[in-house]
Amino acid sequence: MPPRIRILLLFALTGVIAWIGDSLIHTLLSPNHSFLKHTLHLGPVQMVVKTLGALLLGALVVLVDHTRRAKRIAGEKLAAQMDLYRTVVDASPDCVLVHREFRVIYTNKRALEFFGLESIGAFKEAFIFNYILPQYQSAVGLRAERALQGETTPLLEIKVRKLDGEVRNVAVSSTGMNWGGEPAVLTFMRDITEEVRNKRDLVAGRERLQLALDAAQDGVWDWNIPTGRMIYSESWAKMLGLELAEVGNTLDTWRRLIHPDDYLRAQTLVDNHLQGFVPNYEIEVRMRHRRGHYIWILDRGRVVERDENGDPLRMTGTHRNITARKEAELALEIRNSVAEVFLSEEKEELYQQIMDIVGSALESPLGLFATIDETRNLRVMATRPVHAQAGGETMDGILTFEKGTMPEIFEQVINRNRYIIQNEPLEMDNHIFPLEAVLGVPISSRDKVLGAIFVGNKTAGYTPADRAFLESLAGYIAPILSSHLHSEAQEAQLRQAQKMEALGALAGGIAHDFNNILQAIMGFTTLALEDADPEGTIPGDLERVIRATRRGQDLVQRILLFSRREEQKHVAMEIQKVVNEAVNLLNPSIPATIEIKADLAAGDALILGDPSQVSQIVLNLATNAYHAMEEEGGILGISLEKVDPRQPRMAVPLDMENMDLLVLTISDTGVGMSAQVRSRLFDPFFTTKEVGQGTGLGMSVVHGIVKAHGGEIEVQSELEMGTTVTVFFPELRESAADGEEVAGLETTVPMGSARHIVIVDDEQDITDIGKALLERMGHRVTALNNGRDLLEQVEANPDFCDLVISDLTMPQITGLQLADRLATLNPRLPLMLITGMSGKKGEDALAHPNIKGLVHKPFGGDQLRTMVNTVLYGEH
Amino acid sequence: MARILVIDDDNEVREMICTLLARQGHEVTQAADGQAGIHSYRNHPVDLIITDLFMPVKEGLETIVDLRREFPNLRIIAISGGNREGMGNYLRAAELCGASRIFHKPFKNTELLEAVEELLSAD
Repeated sequence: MPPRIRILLLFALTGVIAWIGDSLIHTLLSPNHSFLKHTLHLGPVQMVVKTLGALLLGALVVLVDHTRRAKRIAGEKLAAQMDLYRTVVDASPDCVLVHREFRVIYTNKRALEFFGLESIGAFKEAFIFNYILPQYQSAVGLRAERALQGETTPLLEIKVRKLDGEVRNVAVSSTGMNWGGEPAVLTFMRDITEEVRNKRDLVAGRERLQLALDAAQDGVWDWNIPTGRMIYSESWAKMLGLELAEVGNTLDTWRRLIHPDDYLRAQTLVDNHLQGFVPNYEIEVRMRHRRGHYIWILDRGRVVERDENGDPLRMTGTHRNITARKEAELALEIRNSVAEVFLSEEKEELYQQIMDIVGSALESPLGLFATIDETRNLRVMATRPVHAQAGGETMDGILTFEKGTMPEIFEQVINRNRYIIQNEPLEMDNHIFPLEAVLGVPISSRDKVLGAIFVGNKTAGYTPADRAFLESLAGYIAPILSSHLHSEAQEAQLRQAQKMEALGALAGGIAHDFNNILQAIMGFTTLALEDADPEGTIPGDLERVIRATRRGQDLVQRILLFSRREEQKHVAMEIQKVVNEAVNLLNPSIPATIEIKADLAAGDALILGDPSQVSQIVLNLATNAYHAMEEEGGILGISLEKVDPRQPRMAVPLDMENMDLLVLTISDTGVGMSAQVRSRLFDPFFTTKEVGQGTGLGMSVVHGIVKAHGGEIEVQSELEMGTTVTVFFPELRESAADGEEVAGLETTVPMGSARHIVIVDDEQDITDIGKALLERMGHRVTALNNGRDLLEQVEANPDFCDLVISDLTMPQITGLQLADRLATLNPRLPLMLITGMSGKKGEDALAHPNIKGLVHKPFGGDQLRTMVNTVLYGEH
Repeated sequence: MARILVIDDDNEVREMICTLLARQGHEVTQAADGQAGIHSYRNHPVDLIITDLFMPVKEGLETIVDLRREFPNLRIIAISGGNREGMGNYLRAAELCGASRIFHKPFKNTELLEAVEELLSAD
């Protein structure tokens, strides 16, 4: 029967019994009423009340009974549990103690045996700390606390004292438990005395063994002092790479092999000992190995025999090879000195200081500390001796070996990222050190070679230990050097920027005066020309002055451009279209011996820029490339691509690592540049072209433009290997262009979407200038000298062009007439009129619906560009 | 022939322009800065002013604005060799301020003379 039903039945039964009992009492108290009668005469309310009362009474009885039962059952269970505990605990091979508040409640038999007790009686309530050695008491106390909080504590090795006073090593572990309904600590304890003893024996044994082994390898010497005869043991000879037969039997062998710098020190110490000033002879000296290098020896000995006067007769001792230890000590010492150098303020002397430390540590008269620049050229930062002539050429005042032209040993270390060690003379160019022996290791960080350290001409030659030492030092230097080079690159960038800035300011400053000077020269020359006898030689000479003045004028313009002093007008432009236009423009002027390979893959990507200036970048760089291949011909590569910073396929400039980039690359297979030329590439007025062939401003202008576009330019070149110039532009993201921060751009049609513009003027000069200016903006331009030619074209195709720029006054058809006729052929075709006049006539023309603007003669690029942008794109 | 005032702080340039114009038969006065130029104009009005932009004491743009305010029909040619901020924008500003013509230095004598003739005959 389920317990719940049983309880219900019990309830019911108790209720009924109680009710009957109640009725019986009533009947008994009123004899006139029989039990049955009383029962039958009860009203319904009384019946309910009585029934409820009976039920309540029943419930109470059941409850009382139940609680009593539960208590009994719990007690039984607890007792059973305790029995179980005891059984398990007694059976344990470990000692088990249950304690509360550090007093023993229970122990198993094993624990009683351990402590030497007959029964628990004597042990009960014992204070456990009485049995624990004082130094372990606090640890045990802490662990007991933690055990009570529910932790099972890890094994703890302590010492306890048995009743008979014997101290044993034990391992204890405690956990909290419930003992007899109250929290207590259960501790397991194992006797580990034997294990500890064995372990100690083992360690001691190992040490003794090591001592024995070392001693076996030690070299032994035995010196007969009066005769000077010396006996060396075989291991003494072997330690120095010699056969016993080779070492002879005199003290001279020792004198010959000890390092000269150590000899005096050792000899003095021996003398002191012989005279009895010091009880032992013990010294660390260097002894020469057969292979020529020195090893470190711990030399120990003492006088073992003296004559009746106390004079020494015999002295014996040992040699122990302590090279490994000494080298480790030395390496640590060197490393600390290098660290100090890096931490010091004197950055300029940094490389030289490291070179000197390494050089003297490796006993090398020669040395070279080089770093690798971004184009993998080797730059000599320090030499040993200082300012040694090591070949190469000087760049920025630093000796530089270009990739491909540096000595073989440098190439080996840098390219293979591996050490070189050679103890034979090296065949090298005359201008390099005469090398008898060399050791070189790369300094690399994450497989990238940052530099290299070379040492040379150590008299004894280089050992694997030297190599290991230098490699470990290089490994230590690498991360420091890496950050150092990084900041150096940034400094160089900053210096270049500052140089350009200063030159720009200077250029801007002189431009004004220069123009005034040119003006005076040109004006007065023209005046003189008027007065000169037209038949003589004077007019010709004066013309030359004027021509020269124009060149000066041109120069000033370019200076202003490279220094970015000219006005900037940046718009969202499709760079590919501009580059493409430039390539087309370039095509006719490139001879057939040069093949142009254009690979433009930027699609409709935008940059924020000035189309005419971007075009100029392409033209300038391509012209340089062409000049580099003028003699031999070759391939002129022009490529444009998008580079995703998340999947970079090329190294991008540091500052642009997280940008979407458009990368313009212009390469040639021409004569290339030396490091020296490359280092001065962007300097204004620096040119390799013959006098009169170039101004030396082309690359400065390119640099200025690229910087003004928030871009970067990198040049890679090697002599006879061609040149590659890479220009990085930050891409103008569509989202940014649409966004509010670039307000106004969204309605701006990219300037790169070149339009077809027709320029009409009866003067060839004007159309030539106009065409050139408009083409520079990236537009396609048709120049016509007659309005009628234009009308024919538009009649055939009303969408022949997007804009007409026409002179106002022309012989056959005037600008206004042309505007009228064009309006009938294509009402949407805008016109701009070129006028040499101001005032009413020009203003009247603006009333014409198709005439959108007036261009005043003489017009410049800025004026024309502003007007054209206004008309074509509604930009102001 | 007309009366023309040349304002430029550069002696050579000013002398050159004056010589050029005088040879054409014009009556030329000159001033070395804008303030002297305005002063000169008030005392000896002319038909045309040729003024430089970057000058000490009172620079060209201000001179043009002041002259225009005082003498609305005055014809002015602005010339400039630029300064360290470039040149195009300043000359265009001069145009906006009321210069009828602008010339970058160095300009050709003929360019200037043509502009002078045109402006003088544009009445």
